[in-house]
Amino acid sequence: MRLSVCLGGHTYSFRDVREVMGKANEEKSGDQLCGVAAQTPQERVAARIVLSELTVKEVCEHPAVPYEQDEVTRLILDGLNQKVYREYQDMTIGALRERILSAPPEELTRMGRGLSSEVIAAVCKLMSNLDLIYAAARMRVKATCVTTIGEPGTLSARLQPNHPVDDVEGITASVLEGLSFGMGDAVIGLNPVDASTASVQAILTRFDELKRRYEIPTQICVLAHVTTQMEAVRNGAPCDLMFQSIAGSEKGNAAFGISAELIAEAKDLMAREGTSHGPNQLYFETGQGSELSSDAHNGWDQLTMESRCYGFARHYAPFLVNTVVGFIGPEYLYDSRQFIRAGLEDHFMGKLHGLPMGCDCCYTNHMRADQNDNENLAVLLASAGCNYFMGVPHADDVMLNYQSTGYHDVAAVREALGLAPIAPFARWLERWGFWRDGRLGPNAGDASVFL
Amino acid sequence: MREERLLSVGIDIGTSTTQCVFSAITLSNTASSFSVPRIQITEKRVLYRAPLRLTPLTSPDTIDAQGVEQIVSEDYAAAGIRPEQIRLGAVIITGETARKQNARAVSQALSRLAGDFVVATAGPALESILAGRGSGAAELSRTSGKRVMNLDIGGGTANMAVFERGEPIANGCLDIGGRLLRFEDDDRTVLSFSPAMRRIARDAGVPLAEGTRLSGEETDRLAVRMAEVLEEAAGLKPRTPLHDALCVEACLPDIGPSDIYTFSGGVSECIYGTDTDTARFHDLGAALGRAVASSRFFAAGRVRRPAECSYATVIGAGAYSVAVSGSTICYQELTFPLPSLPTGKVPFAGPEDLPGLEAAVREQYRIFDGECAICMDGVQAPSYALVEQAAQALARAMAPHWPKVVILREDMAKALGQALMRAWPGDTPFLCMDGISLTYGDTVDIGAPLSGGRVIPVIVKTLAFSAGR
Amino acid sequence: MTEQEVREVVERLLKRLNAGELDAPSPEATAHAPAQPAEHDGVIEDIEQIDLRRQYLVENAHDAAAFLAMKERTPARIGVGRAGARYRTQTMLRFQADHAFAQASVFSDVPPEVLENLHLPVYQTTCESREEFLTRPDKGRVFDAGTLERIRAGIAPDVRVVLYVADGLSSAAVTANAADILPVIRKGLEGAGIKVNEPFFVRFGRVATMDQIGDGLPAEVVCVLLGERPGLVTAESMSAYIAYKPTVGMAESRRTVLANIHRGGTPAVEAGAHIVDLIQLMLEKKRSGIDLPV
Repeated sequence: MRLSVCLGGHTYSFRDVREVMGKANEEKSGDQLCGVAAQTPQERVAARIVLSELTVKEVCEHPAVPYEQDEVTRLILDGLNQKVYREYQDMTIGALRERILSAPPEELTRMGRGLSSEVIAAVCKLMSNLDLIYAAARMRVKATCVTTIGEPGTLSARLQPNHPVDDVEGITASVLEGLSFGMGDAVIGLNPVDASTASVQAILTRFDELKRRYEIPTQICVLAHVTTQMEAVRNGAPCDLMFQSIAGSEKGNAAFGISAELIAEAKDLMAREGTSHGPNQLYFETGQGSELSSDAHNGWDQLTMESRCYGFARHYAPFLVNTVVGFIGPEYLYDSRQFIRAGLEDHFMGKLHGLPMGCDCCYTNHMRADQNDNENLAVLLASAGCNYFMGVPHADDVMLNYQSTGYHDVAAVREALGLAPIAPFARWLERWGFWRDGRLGPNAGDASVFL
Repeated sequence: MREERLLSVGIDIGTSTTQCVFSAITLSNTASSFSVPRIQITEKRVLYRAPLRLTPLTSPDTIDAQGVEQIVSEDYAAAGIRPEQIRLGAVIITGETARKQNARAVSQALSRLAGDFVVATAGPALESILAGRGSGAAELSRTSGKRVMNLDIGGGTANMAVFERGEPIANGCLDIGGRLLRFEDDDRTVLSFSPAMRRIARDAGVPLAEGTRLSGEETDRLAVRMAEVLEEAAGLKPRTPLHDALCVEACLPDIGPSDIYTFSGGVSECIYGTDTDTARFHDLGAALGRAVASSRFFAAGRVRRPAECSYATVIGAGAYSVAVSGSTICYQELTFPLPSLPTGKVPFAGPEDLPGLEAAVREQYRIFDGECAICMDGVQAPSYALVEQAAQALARAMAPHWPKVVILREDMAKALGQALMRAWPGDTPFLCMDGISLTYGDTVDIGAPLSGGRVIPVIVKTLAFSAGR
Repeated sequence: MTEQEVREVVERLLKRLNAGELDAPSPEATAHAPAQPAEHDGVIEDIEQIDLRRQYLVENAHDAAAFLAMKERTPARIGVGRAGARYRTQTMLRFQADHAFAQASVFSDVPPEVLENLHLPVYQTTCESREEFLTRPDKGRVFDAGTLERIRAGIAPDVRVVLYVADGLSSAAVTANAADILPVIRKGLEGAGIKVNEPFFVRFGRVATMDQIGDGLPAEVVCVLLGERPGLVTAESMSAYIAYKPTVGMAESRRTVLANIHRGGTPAVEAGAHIVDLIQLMLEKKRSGIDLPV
């Protein structure tokens, strides 16, 4: 392994793969907080040069957390398709980048099966923003729960009707308006405040009633902790899709109160008791920085740890996976430049892992970012073939206190880029006058037609 | 504690029937975690409705108190509920019955059965509102966003309440009911009638005397005229002198028509055609029901059937009469309940009211002979200085009086209460609570604290509402 | 020119600018613009004052009243209508205004005069700038040795409750609430015979500053009032974090938290009065956080 490089007359030497991986990243406040970021732009490029010369094998054999210590590492490495891996193992990361940018879509899908999460993170570090868009746009990943998302030409939305005290009537009002803007073809999914099983059941029951009353072709979910949802399902609550936040290491998952075994149990429960047919019945959320915040990063950069989330996720064939890119705060992603970059990285990495990726394009009020930046990211990701965004009333989540993409934002991106909701949902929208001729219909925005 | 379930009873002793309904009222903390608790009534569920019974009378003007107690005791037994399980209770003596001579004696006889909280004798204003809430009209106004008027037509009176966004904006009562005129068993021969009936008959040109027989056409003419007066009250027809003459206490303010009308009370079953055994009462109820069914109410297409008809008032009494205070309040050393306390309202909605506050409070004590609750709107998010100065003024003015009760609408009672506590000697009994909106002249029954002492239950006995409140 | 007159002139210029009548004036030009005869119609209404729960902007709705009734149950920005697939101008501007206030509360200091009026001595954590405060949570939890010494020297040995204010993520929260909540807590506790320190202010301070301040002091309870990360609904929300005998490195679950203190949530004086009761309970039970039965 060559870990030194001369650049512009200055020699840069790196101790190990971990240091190269950290310093090759675009500037991120979280990597600085962690102490793994490059000190100068020149050092950053030097690290990338070194990285570009490393082989797939070299990176793959240096997982962020040792195989013996970490079940996420074991899931990632044991799950690789060895035939595919052997085809690429001697390729340098620089050459892999070029292969990804020039290969036909079928090869990308196949290639991903043989690349470890660290390798996918490594190649991501060598990609510019447009590289990430260009490569991801050619990877479409479909998944089926009740309906199927990810078809070319579609852009779906999770309808996110959050409420500060989980008032079921207030939640319903937001759901109805969201539907009228064409939101909800990915899922109708609420982040609850009250984590009790009873409350989760009550909301699931209401979602199910709405789904039946209006015959909505979609799936429903309440994003409580997986154990709470499992209890609700065992109590007979209707549940199409089971949610959990995940991390890129066993320790990080432990901080979320989960393990590989628990997620397997959830998947099994959904197969037997879920109200959807699947086969994809899980929903995962991720986000750069969560491992550092729970001291579960093992000294690695946040991009690599994020990639490992996808390595963990793909083991369970989820229906939805999205990064909540700007939720974590400025100590991890300081400003719009950083969160836009992170959104593109996460989407690309997830896709190359073979996941049906969406994105919660979002930011908090203590980041140096605003809604224009968020709209930029949404347009970039839609161009990159992102499966779905969040649909939040006027982009303002009144429970989580952050800004995401609004009903209007998803609707406008669809129209501007010629995208549509998935076909059965679009037909349902047309029946209500919410969608017509590839754009919002006459009743769009008027949820009182339901009343 | 996140949830607490309380049993309540409503007992309605009406002109012709007595009803008893048991409900469960759920109190929950609806605040998000890591916030100041907010205890609210989150569910009201009827557990058991006892069958309708004829109100036992010992003479036309006297309720048989023991008979009523007997009926209610049987209802408890049938419901499987013991009186000591009841935390919230209300006896409502309605309409004409309330004007019978021993109404108060009856309510006292029942106090053992209605729990140790509250025994209320409703006036027509409170009854109208309770019927509107109990029928579901109030809720309908909230969910539909429309103005909804409920007409609760019983034996002796028609109680009317108009709701917007779930809250009453006007109410009134008319001397119109099914039992103003009673027939012999033949349903033709006049057995007896009320003075109000005499007025109606005179206006309708129908000669009326005990022992005479009325033709079907005459009976209908009386009923149609009564239905017209209801239309006049509801803003569907210009008011006539008869309307004004039939008003009990106060007329419904003339606020124009409502978007939706609902009917409850015994006569409503005849209006909606759901009572198939109308003959058993031998009175005008069935004819009145038919008259309303073919009136302008229905022509306008605005009538809906409410969730509750016959039981509206008693459900209102049992489940909808109680409000709970805000959850940051302050009290000490008081013995609850505090029954039937008149409220003296003083202007206090901002710093500009401070200079006159002390005198205004003294004036209310003078008006109510030294015994009343002092109520005020209060200030949303007041400054510390304002709270402190208000406390000084109140402390001086209230010092000689008992009980010391302050009721505010805005959320400031705990801060004000703590300031009062510092202003008075350490163990002075007092109550300072908020979250209750009162109008001048309301009387309150204040119950024992609930939910770990966080909130106080209150029954507001409204005397009158003005339009547009 | 009075302030009012200046404002009117600027507004008039902006109006003409928006109408395309003028090129953008340089700042100098605006400041020196001659007073013109009044042709204005007064001040444009403050959109921050509009109650969003009552606002309904859908045109030709099927049943506006019914939807408005549902909307009352949520603070979410619904019933907002649309312009094509985009926001209507009014709601877009309100969103931008709310975001501007939220960001201002994060990225600005509490004005010195606010702290002077409250007689609060100011101490600073090891953060040197707001940017550092935002990106280095570790530095916002601790003081250097000298600062810590001075803070603790200002707390008398017989003080049972240490009370202070920190900016946290919202200076606006401090400006809006400190003057009303501090005296309610102090008077309330002192009225119950509980001695409180002279409150102070911590700049660039996070919650865990209370651990370093309280660790090893004879005082029993430490209460910090600090600005919450603002949402768009309000930028003025304050939280109280209270702990019995806090120590460095203690579990987060030992803190009792009271959030959402602002005009539209729990008003400052009521929150203060509630905190008085909470602290008395803590002193009696000798514990805090999830161990404290409330």
